[in-house]
Amino acid sequence: MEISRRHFLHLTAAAAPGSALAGLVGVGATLAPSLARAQELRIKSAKATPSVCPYCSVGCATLVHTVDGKIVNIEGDPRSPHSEGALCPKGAATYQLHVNPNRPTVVLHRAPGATDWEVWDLDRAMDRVAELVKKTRDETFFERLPDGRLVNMTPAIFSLGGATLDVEWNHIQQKLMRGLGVVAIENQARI
Amino acid sequence: MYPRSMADSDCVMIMGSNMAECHPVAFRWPMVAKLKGAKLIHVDPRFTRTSAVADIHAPIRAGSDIAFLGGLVNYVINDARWKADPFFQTWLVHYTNAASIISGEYKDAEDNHGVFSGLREYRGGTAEWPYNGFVGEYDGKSWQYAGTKAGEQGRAAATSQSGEVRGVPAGAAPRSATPPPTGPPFDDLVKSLVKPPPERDETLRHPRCVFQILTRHFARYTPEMVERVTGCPRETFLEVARTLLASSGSDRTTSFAYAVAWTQHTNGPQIIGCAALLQLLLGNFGRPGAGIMALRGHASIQGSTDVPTLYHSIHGYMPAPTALKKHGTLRDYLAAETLPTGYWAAMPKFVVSYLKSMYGAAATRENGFGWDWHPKILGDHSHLPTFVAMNDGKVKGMLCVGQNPATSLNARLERAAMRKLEWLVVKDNWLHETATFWKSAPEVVGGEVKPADIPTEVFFFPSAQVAETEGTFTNTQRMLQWHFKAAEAPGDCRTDVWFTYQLGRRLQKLYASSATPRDAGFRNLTFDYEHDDPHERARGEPDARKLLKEVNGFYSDDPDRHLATFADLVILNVQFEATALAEGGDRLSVDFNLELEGREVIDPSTGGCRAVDRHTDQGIQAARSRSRRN
Repeated sequence: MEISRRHFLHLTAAAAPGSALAGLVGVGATLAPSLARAQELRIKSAKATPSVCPYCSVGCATLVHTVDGKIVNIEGDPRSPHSEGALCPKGAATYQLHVNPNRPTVVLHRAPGATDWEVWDLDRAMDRVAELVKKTRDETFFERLPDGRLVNMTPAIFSLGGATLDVEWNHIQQKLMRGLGVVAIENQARI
Repeated sequence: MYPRSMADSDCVMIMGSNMAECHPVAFRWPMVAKLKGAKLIHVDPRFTRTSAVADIHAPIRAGSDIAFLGGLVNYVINDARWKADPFFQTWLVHYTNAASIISGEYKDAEDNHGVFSGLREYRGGTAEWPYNGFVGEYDGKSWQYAGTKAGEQGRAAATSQSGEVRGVPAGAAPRSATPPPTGPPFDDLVKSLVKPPPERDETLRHPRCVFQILTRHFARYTPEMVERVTGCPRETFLEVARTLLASSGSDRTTSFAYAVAWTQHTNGPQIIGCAALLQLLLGNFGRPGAGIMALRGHASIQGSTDVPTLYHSIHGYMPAPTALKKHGTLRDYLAAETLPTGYWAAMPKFVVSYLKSMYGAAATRENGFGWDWHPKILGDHSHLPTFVAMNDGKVKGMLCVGQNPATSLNARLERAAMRKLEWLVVKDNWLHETATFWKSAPEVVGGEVKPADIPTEVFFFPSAQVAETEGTFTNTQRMLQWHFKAAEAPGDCRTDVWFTYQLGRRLQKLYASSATPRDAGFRNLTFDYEHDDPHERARGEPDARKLLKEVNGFYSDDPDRHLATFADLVILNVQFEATALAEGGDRLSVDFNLELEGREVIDPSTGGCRAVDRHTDQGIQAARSRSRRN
């Protein structure tokens, strides 16, 4: 028997419950109760936490569903007056930012001249970064310019930030940097 | 403007943006407007999905935006309906500076070899930072209103009291024996900066009134010129102009939307300024469906500008103290930078608040609130000059958080510069090209550079994602949204504030025993954001709420009391003083800066530091009730 493409779709639809919708629509069945149940199952016993899409600046509100502290779903929050629950394809994929086999979860260190990374302990890496910041600051600090102008700064440390970071990060970062005398503080906002 | 407000527009002009694809969720609001009969105009070199749903697509050559907008300005001011409609004319005279007269020193580009008067000459920077920030900038001195001179009185007042000595050789005593008053009140200073009101000609006929200068300047932007420069057919341009005018007026509004196709031009601010000019001529400001929508590209790019991780500004767009201007003392800085009228007349309060957010109780009247500790910039420390300096060996270390410069502008130069770094810290969600520049850069893969010859020590710290962090985004329309923490980040992934806080705590320990004067500022930096939650505290997370509180503002003697709204604070002050004077009573001093025995408010972002004792608190209440009665 020769099977047409349309026929094939019908057959597979009948066989696989996951893609049964096309077949059922064909015979005029009402889907509302099944859809409602599927929706209920997906986030049943999940906790919903309000969040915001991290991509563009429109600020679409999201709901993050967690079960036992694990993220199981992220979708648009219908309560938002400016996005009304909508998400674009990119925002709808926010879940994959969080739950992703390619996500790096360890601290890496590359020694000068080395050809590969080495996994480092988080505390050891933080201690080393603090040491390097202090060393560079102390070596390059200008209290005054040669003509006597008081400047208390170093131009030799560069802080470059992205624009998807929280306002609180911006505040603490600029505070620490300016507190140390670092002036080269920049952000994606410039570009 | 709020994107949803675009649903109220009678015409939406999208230029320099492919809104339908790049901001699709916000694009529903222009589409709602369209369903109600509004016209959609898309001006763009490409025919995109935005063009596909627009009523008019006007193609222009990339970069010719000002010619197109200039043509619209010229069309509008020569249009018979625009000239006759009392709405436009009233708006122009009363809500813009069209009637103000400009000083005779001003020269338009036509009379000044193609540039406006006041173009700065190149001035070599300092040997320490030979990258000058003033090249290509205009000095606004010749652009002032007639009869007023920029800040002259203010400068005189400032210098007479500041006692600052410029150019003291190293080693000499920098200050005189009796210290001049460095602290507040700064009322005298602000008052001395107020200029007389500008001369006006409300008939708009004076040859040097803003409107006549504008008319002469834009006369060259004829439809023919627009067609020649932009490549947009004359008829299409005229259709845009007619639609724009027909959709503006007393009962109609037009809004604009733009994105990075305006801002990423070197003349981006001028394009945006030109659109603002056009919207002012059409009365399209401050009304439903009117305005200009800046479609920002990233979740909190507005937040990183308001609370700036940008070299040139401190909180709330105040200029960063610089060694290139007369900023030697707090008073000098205020004299040079304060705009003495309107909201910005309160700038001394904003600066003092900001300094208090930095140095806490160590910021006192006596030490100018820690002014000397605060670093002064040496010129242009922005993204590209800093990479150029890095390539020259002047930048040794880099902290790169959530950014990937190895694939950014002039990427080859930036990668070459990074190979000169002693150390590089990358904190990101992904192991991107900047983190692996020593391994996977085209120069390394192509064999041009060997990893063994790259001396940079590189760190990679994995990040927590948005749903694993609590904090605020400031979205494109300055809407602030708090996002809650829903789950714990895996492995060594930590929040961005964790990184900065932990770095700061470690540095505090390293500098704890330093007695060197150069470290005094850092040792006085307030940096306590310990989390109240035991679990988060054990992880070393700072409390984002405490950071937010510091940005928002609070009473330093009653830290649990937040600043309700800043505007309220300023308005109360004005009302209070006005009422007190109107009633012929003694002028009660409500100087925000005075550190009496009362309270002060700290608000580094939008500013505000005031002293309020019980007496003046009652005074303000009284003024409030009086103003309600009136």
